[in-house]
Amino acid sequence: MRPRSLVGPLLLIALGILLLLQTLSPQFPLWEIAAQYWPLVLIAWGGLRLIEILVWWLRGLPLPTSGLSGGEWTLVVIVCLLGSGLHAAHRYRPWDRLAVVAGKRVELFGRTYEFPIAEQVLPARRAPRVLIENLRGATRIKGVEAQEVRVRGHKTVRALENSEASQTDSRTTLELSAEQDRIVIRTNLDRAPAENRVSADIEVVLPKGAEVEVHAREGDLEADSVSSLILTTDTGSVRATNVQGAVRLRLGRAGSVKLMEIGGAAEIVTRRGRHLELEGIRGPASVEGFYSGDVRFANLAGPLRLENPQLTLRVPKLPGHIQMDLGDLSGARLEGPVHFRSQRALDVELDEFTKGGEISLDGGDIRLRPAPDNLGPIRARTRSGDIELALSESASFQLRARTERGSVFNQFGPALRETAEPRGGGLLTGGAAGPLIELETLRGSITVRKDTGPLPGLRKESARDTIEIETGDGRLRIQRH
Amino acid sequence: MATANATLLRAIRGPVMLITLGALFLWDHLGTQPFSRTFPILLIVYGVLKLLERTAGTDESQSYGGQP
Repeated sequence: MRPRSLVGPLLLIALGILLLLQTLSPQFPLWEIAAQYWPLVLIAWGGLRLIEILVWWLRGLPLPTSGLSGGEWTLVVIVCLLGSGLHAAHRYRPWDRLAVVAGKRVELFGRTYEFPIAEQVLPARRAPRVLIENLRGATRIKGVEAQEVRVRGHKTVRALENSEASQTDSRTTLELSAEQDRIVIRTNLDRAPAENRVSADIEVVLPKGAEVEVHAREGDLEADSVSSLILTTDTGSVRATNVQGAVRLRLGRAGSVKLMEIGGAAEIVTRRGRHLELEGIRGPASVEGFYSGDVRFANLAGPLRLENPQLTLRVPKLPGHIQMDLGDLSGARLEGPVHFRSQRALDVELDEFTKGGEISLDGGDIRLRPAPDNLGPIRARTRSGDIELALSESASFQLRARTERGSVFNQFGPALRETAEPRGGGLLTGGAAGPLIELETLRGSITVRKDTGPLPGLRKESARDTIEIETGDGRLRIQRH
Repeated sequence: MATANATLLRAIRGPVMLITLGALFLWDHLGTQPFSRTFPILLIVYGVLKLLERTAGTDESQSYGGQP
């Protein structure tokens, strides 16, 4: 009798488990993972079938004439089309563009009319307090050496005809006024009738050192050279540079958030965001919310705290950088103790960190290379994954590394003692004085080696930026995307 | 034994192609090399498998008179 394949039922079970994970914990980014890693289904399918055929062959059972039937190939084609579609959709996000049409019924009819916003000027003292209310549209703020506030921009009105549009335009005049001790800028878009959608892109130039507060509903914000910035909005991207004091952002859905050269604290609360970049923050940096794209921190003088339901990251000081996405976290030159806990599987690489730390992963590899001086107690734990630790030859430490199932590699020398554990595990202990280093994996190998240079994965980091090559007649810039 | 090898090679051709296809797509999505550049690997793998099948089954084809 010809044996029947087990691959179909196994794949069904895997699909069921994935969907169950999604329904039980809505935070589980199933679609993002599926869009990126769906080809693993093909590999698993092929691999299982291959093993099956080899097993049948070894047992002397009759082999099928072809490994995959015509029907199965049809299914493969369907999976490829669906997977590629999902991947493309996640990459180019067409729904962002569709929403522009679907979210605004009137836009299907009517036309867009543009109106300039005439420049308004109001004298102001140095370092004024400014409140900006612009419900929809981009807001750009810039601090300069001046004694006045200047606002200008343009408005977009969606209407059936010109007269209707200009009526709406005149109803929503920009207001620039001094109220008590502060200056108020209002675009008054809420006065527009519901059927006319209005958005205002404004440019605000104000004296340096202004304390700015922005209220918006949707639209991007750019701010440069102000004293402090507070923003509340539902959706939009934010970019703030050269802020002397604190930045506080309350965002619903954020596109990308980029803060650079902030003198005070940075506090960001998001429901969901795409990219995040914080660089040169002198105060404490605290981020709440889930980011699905690239997250980068660099040169933070104060403590960093990143929290969402899936992970917690705390670093007391970051002279170097940390870069992470859904599957990786890599960092270099951290002042510890570093605390990182993730309930999602991801690989962690930390280079040149001081004062030790605690790393706990639900899955994924851990590679650590603590700074040679100022070694602190380290506790690294992963449920499934390899752990690699590089220590300088002169370091004094106590080690206790254990794998429940996997091999232990001692490349450090006779200072460490290797013992086998029952059920295919291993234990590596050694050292006498110094901080305690505990490594533990339930399934995976553990390697302790002598420090021979930066971790190979971390060299990628510099390759991400721009490379400049000197040629005979000029400079060639290569930007990696 | 040679015929058994040929049957085996024919049977694993599908799965091996599937694994290669999956690997190329994964490669594409991870941003290493686009699929549009790596697809000829599929042809090479298919060719190699076919070649192995022919060489494994030479005894058979010779008895049928050489050229297939």
